[in-house]
Amino acid sequence: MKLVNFQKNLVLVALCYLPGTLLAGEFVEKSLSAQPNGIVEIHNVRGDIKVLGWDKQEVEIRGELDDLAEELIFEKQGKVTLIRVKMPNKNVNHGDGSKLVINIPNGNRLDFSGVSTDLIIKNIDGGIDIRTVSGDVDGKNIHKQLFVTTVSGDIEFKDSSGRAKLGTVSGDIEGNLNSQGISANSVSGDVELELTEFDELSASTVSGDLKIEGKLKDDGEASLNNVSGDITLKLASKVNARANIKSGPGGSITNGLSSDKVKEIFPNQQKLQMTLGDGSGRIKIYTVSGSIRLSGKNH
Amino acid sequence: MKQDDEKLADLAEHSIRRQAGLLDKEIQPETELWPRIEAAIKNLPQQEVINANTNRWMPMAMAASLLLAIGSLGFAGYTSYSVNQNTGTFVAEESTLNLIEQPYMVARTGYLTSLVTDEQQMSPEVREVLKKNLKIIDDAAREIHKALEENPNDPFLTDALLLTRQKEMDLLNQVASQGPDTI
Repeated sequence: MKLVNFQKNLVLVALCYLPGTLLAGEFVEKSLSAQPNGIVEIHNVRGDIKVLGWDKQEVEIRGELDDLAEELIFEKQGKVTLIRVKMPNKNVNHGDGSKLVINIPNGNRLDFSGVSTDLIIKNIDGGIDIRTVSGDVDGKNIHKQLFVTTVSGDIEFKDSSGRAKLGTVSGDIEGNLNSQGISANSVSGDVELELTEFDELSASTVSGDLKIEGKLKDDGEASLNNVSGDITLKLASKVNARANIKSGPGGSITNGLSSDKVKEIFPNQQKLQMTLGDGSGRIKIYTVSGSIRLSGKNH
Repeated sequence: MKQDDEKLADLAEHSIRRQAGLLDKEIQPETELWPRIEAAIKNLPQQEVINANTNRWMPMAMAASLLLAIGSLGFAGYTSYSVNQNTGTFVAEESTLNLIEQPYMVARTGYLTSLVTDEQQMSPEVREVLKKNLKIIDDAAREIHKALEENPNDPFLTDALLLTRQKEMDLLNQVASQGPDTI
């Protein structure tokens, strides 16, 4: 009789632990063939995802799904390979998010959407288009296009190239890019870009700092502005551009790019207009109350 | 071509300078919006919240449409101003500050009304980011208004105000467009 009771208790204890076992994220290892110039579309609400480019013509997923995931959708839809970690339509504030490593073929573009997913991306040569809310995006060796939007996440790229459009609200943007056209915008985050050579650069914040370093091409355009942050522009090589720089009341301009003098304007504003080299490009910078610092090799 | 662009830019700058000279100095950016939003949320009947959750993207869509319509009107206003300025027939009936601020204020009200109904679905983190950055933008706008009071003919300041308000719209749009399963 005691043995029967013991067995019953054992079963009860096991049943108590069963839901916990079911809650744990399921381990997955799946792959699908993919087209050479296809799109890999990933939707994952939370967790840590690594997306890596490789030379196989297939998409592979390995790792642990979100504790609350209801389903993993992994299928081909024409040239799109879809990966969706489907979550319940309820509060998802407990348990752990997905921890996945996803390999995608060279030449494929990555489209990603998430909420609080931190994303590490490496060796993607077909471009990326990413939307997150609070997750950080950390990329290396990304080419063709870099489109990233976050609300509070930080964006960082290294050794990457292609048209870049980077936007955050309070996150910081940091990059080491070889990009012809770059747009980087934030409200309160800082923007720090190290560029090799660029044609067109537009960077703005409201209260964040802007720190840009690179070579402006002849005929190129750079437009930087903010309200209260500091702006630093360091231009490599000899610059050919007309520059129109202005600071509002309380702001200041320091010109280390040429021997042109900064003019004081009433009331308490500063202005710098100058032609560098043949003046083929354009530089336009302004701040309301921040400071502007220019440096380079034009003198 | 570049010369033409420069002429147009000069004309636009000149027109903004003239309008800036007619600034209505009484317009100030709204202060502390969030307490009012929070008060509105508290006063919202439960039934309304439930209904809002059911159709939570409709107000967003309406606000976005409103913004687009207002944006178009604002742009049309500037265009017609420049054209009339060229022919010398322009009569300034509204100040630059009015032209800049009014459409954004209307659009912002639309967005914030939508976000109030949606606020309970918003993650605390996004709500905090939104609140913090709306305040940063309001502070910045206030700073620009103050600078414009001292120097009403400064086109850089009117540009700065435009860009700051545009950033605000981008922020609201970004939060609103995160989608039902993301905010």
